[in-house]
Amino acid sequence: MFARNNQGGRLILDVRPGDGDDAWRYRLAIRGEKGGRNRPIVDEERVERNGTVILERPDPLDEADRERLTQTHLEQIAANQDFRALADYFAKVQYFHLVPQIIRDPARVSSSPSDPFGADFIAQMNAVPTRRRNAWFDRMERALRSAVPEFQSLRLEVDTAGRPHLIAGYKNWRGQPARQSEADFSDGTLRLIGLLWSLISAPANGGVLLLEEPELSLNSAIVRTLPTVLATAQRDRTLLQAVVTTHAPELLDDEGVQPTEVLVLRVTPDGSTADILAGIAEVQGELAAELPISDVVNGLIAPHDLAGLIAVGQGKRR
Amino acid sequence: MINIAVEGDSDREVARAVVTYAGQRVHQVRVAGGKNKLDPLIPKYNVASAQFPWVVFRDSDSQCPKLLRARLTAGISSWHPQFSLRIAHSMSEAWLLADRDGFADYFRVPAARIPRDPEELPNAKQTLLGLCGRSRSRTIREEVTVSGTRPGPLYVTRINEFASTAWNVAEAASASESLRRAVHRIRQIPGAIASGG
Repeated sequence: MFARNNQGGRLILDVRPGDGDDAWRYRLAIRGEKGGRNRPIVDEERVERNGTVILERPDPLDEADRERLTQTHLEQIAANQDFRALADYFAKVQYFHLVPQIIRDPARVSSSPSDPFGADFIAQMNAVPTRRRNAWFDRMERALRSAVPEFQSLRLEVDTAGRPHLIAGYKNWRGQPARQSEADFSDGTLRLIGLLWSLISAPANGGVLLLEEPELSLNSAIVRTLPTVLATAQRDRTLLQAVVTTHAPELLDDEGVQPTEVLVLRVTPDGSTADILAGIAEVQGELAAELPISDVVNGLIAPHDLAGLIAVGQGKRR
Repeated sequence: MINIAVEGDSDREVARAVVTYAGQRVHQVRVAGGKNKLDPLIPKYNVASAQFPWVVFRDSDSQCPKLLRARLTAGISSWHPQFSLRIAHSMSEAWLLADRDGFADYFRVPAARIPRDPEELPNAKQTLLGLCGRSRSRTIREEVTVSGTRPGPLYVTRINEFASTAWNVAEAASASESLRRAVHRIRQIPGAIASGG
């Protein structure tokens, strides 16, 4: 949308993960195929290890057979042998943005395996070996009891049609807890279950966990504890990196969150820019004064005049 | 360029108008969301003023402004010349009432009903609400107040609209000593324009 100079309609990713002893660089440029079919085509694929180029495409084979350019070498086991560590790194990236409506009614979307929006979320839980799943459910149950009022138990049950369901028990005035399935859960409860599951089931050997606005639908007291929840999850999995997008001041104002960890996304006429908060010159004074990080960030990104928004409901009366 | 910090949303445009009238350019207005949140930040804004000037507006809420100032700035060891704490006596609503003609015109109330010495009012906000509750304009009555005692659904919007479009700061400063001093002091903030933004 903001392409300023001639990129040829290419999408370029240039990633330099610092993983293990080797310094990797992966560069991928994609463009639309010409001639009406518009399939995504590899325009450039390049892998470097410690500065040495180990893959550079298109190569002569690609030139001879253009069909090869519809796939990256990264995604093919036979072709990524020399940089398997990099491929494994990308394979361990988990994107998570659970949409409660989809969990309640998975028929809304055609479910693809490991759908980040949660279409096969409960099926994923069901696929975990029973003993391990029970252990994980015990941990989730304890967490949910402290966060959700009157929450008592969480189980997985398979119905007569073979579909797995989450069943929660809530305390009430009767002797028996009231049973509710995922179709009855509130958005916040569902999102919290999803977040807890993604933390508990995160691979012990690390990876990158991408969380999209984990504060959605949650009580602000719970939101305030999320940075600690994430930090605790990382304590047991030292290589787990979490990247979180947020609008929540509660997340930013956690005392453990440093200005060096906050990436500020600003929309400019030249497209969106991303800057580490600690490196933005105009807020050095405020950071030195230890003003709340959420205030400092808001000063950079908040819309300045919302009069137009307020006026939206205004009729012709005045 | 001057940064402003205020207590609540309804103080936003009053503060902006005062600083603009004092000949300074406003960079941003930051709303703390209550004095309990603003007060602990006051010494920090003093530190932050090392880079860009900050002016903090705080209502005295009819406390002695001198004692209040001493309490709020107890954590400040060295005052930065680019920092200023302005205490509105007794609250920013009193500053708005101090422009009697402008207020009467915008809120459709008889000027004669508006107190001549708003700083002496025990609760200027209540007075303002009471006046608007008996406004000649039905829109004002319904938007600004609920039964003339509590803020109405568009209280903040109307107060900010008045402060930014109709409020005469010069007129108000002649009737409010705390406002007159605020303007005088903000005018003197050094380097505010030179420092750019």
